[in-house]
Amino acid sequence: MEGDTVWKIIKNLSDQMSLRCSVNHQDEKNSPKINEKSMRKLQKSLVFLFIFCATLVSQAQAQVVKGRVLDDGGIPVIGANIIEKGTSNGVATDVKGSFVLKVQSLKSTLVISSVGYQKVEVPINGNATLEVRLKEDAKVIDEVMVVGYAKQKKATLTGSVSAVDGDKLKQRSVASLSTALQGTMPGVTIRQTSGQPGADGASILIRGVGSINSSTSPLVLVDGVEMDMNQLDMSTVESVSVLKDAASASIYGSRASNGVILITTKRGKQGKLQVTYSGYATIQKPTNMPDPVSAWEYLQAELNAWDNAGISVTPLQRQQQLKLIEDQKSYKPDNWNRYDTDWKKETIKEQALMHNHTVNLTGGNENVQIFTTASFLDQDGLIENNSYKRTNFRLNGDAKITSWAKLAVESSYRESVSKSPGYSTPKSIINQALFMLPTLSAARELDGNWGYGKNGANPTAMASASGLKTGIGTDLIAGGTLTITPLKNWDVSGQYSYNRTIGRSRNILTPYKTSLKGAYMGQTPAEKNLYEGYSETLKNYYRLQSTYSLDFKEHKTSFILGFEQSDRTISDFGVSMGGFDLDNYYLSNGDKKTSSGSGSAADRALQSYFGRINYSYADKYLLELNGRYDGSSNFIKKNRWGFFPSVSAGWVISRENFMESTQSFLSLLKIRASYGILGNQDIGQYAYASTIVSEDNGETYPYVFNKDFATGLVQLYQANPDILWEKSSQLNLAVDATFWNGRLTFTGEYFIKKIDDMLMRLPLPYYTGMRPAWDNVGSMENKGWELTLGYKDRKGDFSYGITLNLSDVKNEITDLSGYISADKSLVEGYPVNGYWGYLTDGYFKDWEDVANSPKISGSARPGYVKYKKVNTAEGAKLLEIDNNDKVYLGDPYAHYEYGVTLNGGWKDFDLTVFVQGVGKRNIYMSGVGLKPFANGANLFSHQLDSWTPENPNAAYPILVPEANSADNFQLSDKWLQDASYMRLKNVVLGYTLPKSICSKIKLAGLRVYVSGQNLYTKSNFFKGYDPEVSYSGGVGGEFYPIMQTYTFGLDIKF
Amino acid sequence: MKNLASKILKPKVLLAAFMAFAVAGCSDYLDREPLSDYLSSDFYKSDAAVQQGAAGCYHMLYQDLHKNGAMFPTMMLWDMYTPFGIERSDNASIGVGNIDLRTNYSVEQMWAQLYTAVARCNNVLYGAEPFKSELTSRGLQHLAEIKVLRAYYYMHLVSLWGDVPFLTEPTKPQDDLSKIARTPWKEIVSYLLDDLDKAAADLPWTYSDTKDWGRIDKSVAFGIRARLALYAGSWCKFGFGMNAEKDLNKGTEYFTIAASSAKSIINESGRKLCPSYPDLFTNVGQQTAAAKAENMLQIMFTSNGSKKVHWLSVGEQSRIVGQSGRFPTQMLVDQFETKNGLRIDKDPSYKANDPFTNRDPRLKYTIYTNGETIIANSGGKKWKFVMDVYNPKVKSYDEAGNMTLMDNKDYEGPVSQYGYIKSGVGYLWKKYNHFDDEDNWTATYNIVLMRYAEILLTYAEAKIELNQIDATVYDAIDQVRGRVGMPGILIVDPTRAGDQAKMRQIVRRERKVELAKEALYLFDMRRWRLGSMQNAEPTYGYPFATGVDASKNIYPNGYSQATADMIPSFTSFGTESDLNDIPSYAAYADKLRMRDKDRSKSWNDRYYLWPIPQTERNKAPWLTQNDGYAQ
Repeated sequence: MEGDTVWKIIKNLSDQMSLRCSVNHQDEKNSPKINEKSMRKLQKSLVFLFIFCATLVSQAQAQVVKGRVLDDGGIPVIGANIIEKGTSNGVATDVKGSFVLKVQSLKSTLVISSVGYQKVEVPINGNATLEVRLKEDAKVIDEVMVVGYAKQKKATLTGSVSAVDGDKLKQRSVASLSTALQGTMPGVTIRQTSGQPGADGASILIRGVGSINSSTSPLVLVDGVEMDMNQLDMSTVESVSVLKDAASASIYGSRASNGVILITTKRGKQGKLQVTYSGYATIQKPTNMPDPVSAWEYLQAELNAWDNAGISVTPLQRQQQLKLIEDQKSYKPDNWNRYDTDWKKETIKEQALMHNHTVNLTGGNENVQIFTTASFLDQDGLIENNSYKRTNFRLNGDAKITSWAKLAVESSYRESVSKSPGYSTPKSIINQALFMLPTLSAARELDGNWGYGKNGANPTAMASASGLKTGIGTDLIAGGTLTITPLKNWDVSGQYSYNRTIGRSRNILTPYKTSLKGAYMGQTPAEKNLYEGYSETLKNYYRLQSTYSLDFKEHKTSFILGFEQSDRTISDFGVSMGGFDLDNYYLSNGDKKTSSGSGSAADRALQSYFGRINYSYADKYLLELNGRYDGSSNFIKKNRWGFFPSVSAGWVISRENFMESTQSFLSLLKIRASYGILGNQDIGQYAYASTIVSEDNGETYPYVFNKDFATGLVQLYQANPDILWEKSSQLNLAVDATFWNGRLTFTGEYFIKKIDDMLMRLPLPYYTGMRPAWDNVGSMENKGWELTLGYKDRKGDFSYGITLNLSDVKNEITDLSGYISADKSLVEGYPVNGYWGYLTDGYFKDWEDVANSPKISGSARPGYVKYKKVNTAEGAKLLEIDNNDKVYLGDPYAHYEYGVTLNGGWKDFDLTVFVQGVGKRNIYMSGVGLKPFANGANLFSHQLDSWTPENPNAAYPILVPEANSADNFQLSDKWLQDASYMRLKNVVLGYTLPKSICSKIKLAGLRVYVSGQNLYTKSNFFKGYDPEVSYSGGVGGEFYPIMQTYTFGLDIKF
Repeated sequence: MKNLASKILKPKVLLAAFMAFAVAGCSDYLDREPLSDYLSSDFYKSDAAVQQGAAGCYHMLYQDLHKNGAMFPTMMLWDMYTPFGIERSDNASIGVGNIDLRTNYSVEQMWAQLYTAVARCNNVLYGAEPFKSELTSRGLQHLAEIKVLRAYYYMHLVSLWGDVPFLTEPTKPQDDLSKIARTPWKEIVSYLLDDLDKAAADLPWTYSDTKDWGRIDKSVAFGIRARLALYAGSWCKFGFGMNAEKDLNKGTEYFTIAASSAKSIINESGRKLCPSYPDLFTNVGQQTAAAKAENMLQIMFTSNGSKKVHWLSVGEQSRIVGQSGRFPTQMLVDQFETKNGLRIDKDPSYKANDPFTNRDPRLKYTIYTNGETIIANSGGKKWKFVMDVYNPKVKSYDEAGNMTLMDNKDYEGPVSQYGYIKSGVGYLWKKYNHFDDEDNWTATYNIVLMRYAEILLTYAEAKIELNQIDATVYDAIDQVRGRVGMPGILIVDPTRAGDQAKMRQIVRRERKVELAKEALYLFDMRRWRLGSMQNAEPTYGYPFATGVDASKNIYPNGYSQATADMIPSFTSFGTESDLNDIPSYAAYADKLRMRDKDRSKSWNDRYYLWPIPQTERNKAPWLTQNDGYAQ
């Protein structure tokens, strides 16, 4: 026995488990015999281990307590922890639930705990033998999930719902809730595409792209009311539920086609008033940035490019360029004869700070409970004059008015202030700083003026001296729910909520003066300007709902019937004015002749009846029916109403008698299936109508008479009043399994989502002169699967858990009435926005190779990208590459997305490590992100690896000027860059001060933590570019970097 | 008992409330009509509605391809599609023809824009038709303006593409579009000429209120009628499309309409030539009464409000003050006579080593040449500098007149490859780009689409083609020449009198120089069928300098080095190229800056019409393709 090592013990334990598994169908009485030997061995091993440990810790004379730990149903609890209170002396139960513990005194108390059960304390009271019954922990077995208009027990849920606890999200220490959700749930694709303060929320797709033209974003409801989740203060979030399948979402009918995210805020709890302060400070750094080359490298590359392209350079020109290169290498820039400006360093900060402070107050008595919170977030950006500040208040109160009436109120107020430079956008400024030529001018010239840059555009000056755009957003929500219980099990509740969102902008544009080599070059932009804007969204929400449940023996039923309506009115206006000679930027001071104003308004209303019936027998056979009858003002009267039903059923196999033999380890085995129909009406207001407008998407149609504006009206679209909802149907099949009372959990899901009647504008010939009307024509399909695996356990002071999720979804357009879009982003049988391009075959080796191989145009030279001729049909020109040689190369979506969370706790320390990744994804970069010299840009150092006869396997083709390089950067398999990645997304290490010390310093609790976000990334993407960010913009490849963060935080409970 | 009653009563009340609420909600809660937009049904029933609808039709004159607030009217590219103008790079422009026009973005967008414009007009005209009796004469006048605009847009469709789909009413989703094929161009032209005549009846010659400056009046209606008829007459006479189909009788008919329409403007409109030619093209000049009297139709811009600015000038500057992408050519420069009224090869006073002095003043109003002083006005700063093709430094002067030497960015440096020396052929456009009065980045001068000088020349040309050459014809041409101080055509050469060939030569030459860069020459080159003749040589420019020595800072002027033999040949008297003033530089080509080496190889008579864009034919396969472009 002394020879047994810990490893051996663990091996024994696992042998044990596998044997248990393999005898599922055997007579239960036999199994202990089979296992007796190994079991005894295990028992001995464990006992030894803990005795050994205990001996080390305690010198006291020991007495022995023996006992068994059983659950409610008398089944032994394996691996329960028994600890002598106030000591670290403990032991775990064996497979029979038995334990033997040497205690210091028979007057001690034993603390018995096990995952999935409520902790109990049992005084020994001198008994040497104890039998302890553990109650199943309601949290695990009775774990409830927030679903549409109700809460349901997870164990008997039949729809596909993922949920995450608010406290876990808060740990991530990021500004936007959507970003915090990333990787926590399978089938929910979340991508943070920008790190701009105030705009760093992530895009969310649930189970793939759900439409081509209508919205693809899920419906987000906070306490039942539509809202922007990124404006929430994360410390107020109790839970986030995502309704993924039709069964769980169809109760939201016409808005649920892209899934539904339900966010519940925290509520007051009965008990002593408790005040909590949480705060953190974060240092943010870009995850990645490309590295532009210095002046001499650029000049050398330019000369090489001319030579490579066969552009004639006069000897004089060459001599001058070579001298310049030598000078640039030998001397520092003097900002007169030579510029070598590091625009990146001049403009972009190394790091930016973010800090957040929250105070919560909660408490109440049996009649009134409140939860209130105030928080402040301050996030700095990577350039001057770029920041975001947000203040949130929330008050949630619950009151029992009479024995049969309750009132719940929610109110919140948010104010956020975002700032950015007056000229251009932060994203564009950052990118200009990355690609602007170092040779153009200094950031600041010797005469003190700003450098002239590119025709006056100077990113450093734009960031710090071009004025300021200030956006102030406020959000007021006030609402309440009155719930009356006329009879037992019957609730009737009425809810009203009012939401006013105001966006107020004040943009001041101040020109900066530029010079070049001592010559004043004028100012950029040419004129001063002020824009004052206001936009307002008013929403009203009304709900009346009746909930009734009736249980009869093993039959359980519940019914929900409800009515709801909501309306939304959007209005805005704005005025712009110039001529602020005296620099007081208020409309009364400007030149009225330069003023222009605009304003518009639109409204929308929805009305719905919804219902649900749940039936279960013995918690074993589960059935749920949902339906919603929805009316939308987005359609004409006769097409306005739609019915969206769903059905789902589950079978809890583990509750069947024949499964009794496995009950000791298989706590739950459930299979479930659902089918339902959802709608999508989010194509904007008045889509059915043919309207005459003076403005469309910011474009106006005035003409000028007598040098002054005259409003112009136009009808842009043909109208189709007969349009209907987009419809989607979804089939979901799933298995849930829980082992050892929640220690190991598994969920697997498979779904097929079909989207029909998609609203498309199939192109009209230009000669009609109109843009096409909407029509319900397209169909597509998303198929996918999701896996979740979790394991958690505790060994003495050490607790740990791991959850893993993995999912994939494939999109395919199934019907477009034969239409193929010109850019092939829409082709039947392929995903939406699929990539179509050429296949490549390395580079042209030499002129002979050029002459004998197919090519796009006559500009091909050795070192150019060589393409494969695909279309060899009769009549095809075999030496020419054309559109017919384009093939499908892949889709732009993330595949095999995964998230792995490891958490561990040891005594007062806790650690969470979160890894997130994408197994397969491709990105085609364009413009500056791809081509050397694109749009007059500098090179990035990774682009220097270009083809020469000596370097035939270079990453880039031969370096030639942009005007000559078009053939090389065609969308092709060569440039479809692998953007898969694995990322250490988040690590949190916390320490909670022991209660004993806390009470000494008069605190209820104190926790400190350090955390980091995006700490390490493994990827094959372009060097300097982050695989997660979104790249776009006028010159291609533009982005606002997402951040790597380092956080120190503190939570204090008073 | 009481308790029981309350137990029963409460739910009942609640249920009733529930029902009441639900039913009440049903009524008209979902009826939401547009708030700030208008429903199209029965909309155009008032003068005010028609007036705003008309402004939406005028809006399409901006022809903005890029829709980004600042506008670039695409018709300003059209001269660059002839050998009189070039774009930035070889072999990439429509003018040089080395690209597939079927899939060319610009061709496609122009087609799309013009049809969008037509549909705008059709929507208002069709929408107002049932309510015409409710409109006052002002409303009817706006409808007439819209008809003129529609004719203007269709004129371009027919001129560029020939037979095109012809719609005079809006299309609806349920229409069977495959029934709409290409209408023969003569049918379209007949309809338009008739429609313009009708529209003119509802329009005044002049507007009494200055607020209506820029609005289409009767002279614009007749002016477009004259231009369209002149074009159609030429097509019939000299050949239409690739295969040069002719119809001489119809040609005479059209020329007659052109002459009579122009004549009524000359006799009745009260329009006059502006004494100052440059005033027609500057922001301040255009606002003088004299310029308003000549400029008949323009794309109007404003510095009011959020400025309607255009980027015409941004792309035509020296690299020292802006960007460049469009340039004039030597061939255009050589169209301008000497001040004696003679072609350069005919005037002994013309010196190859001093080519820009003593020329038709319109040369320097239209084109910046070497040694010219450029007024730069950019970023709130105004200064001058001397244009220099041959030196890496240029002289520049601040507003106080202090001189400094500055880098010549067109000569060397990172952007020089796009400048007028390395990308162009030594010239810059000056027409519209003389910036005394506004910033070149936010220019708001109007872009002129039709002016009285054109009417005079149209009248003269139509009469010449009809061989009705009388005093009114000489007078019309001489008015245009006389305004800039050029001698009368019969004073210069009395043998022109009554000589149709010579008169044709002089009216065409006059049109080329008077209306250079006014988006007309593409159509003139086509209807005169000069395509192959004019595209027979590469594009030429400044003479190279010899003896450059940078180490000693020696940069000779290439023009002053030019020898006497460096005068282009217009071939022998009476040949087609002589009569059309087409120069040849072949004899000393190696001494000149050359571009578009393959220009002669790329011309093809199919370019007399553009192809129907391929994307359009993908959507509407029932549309046939023009000859010469693979079907």
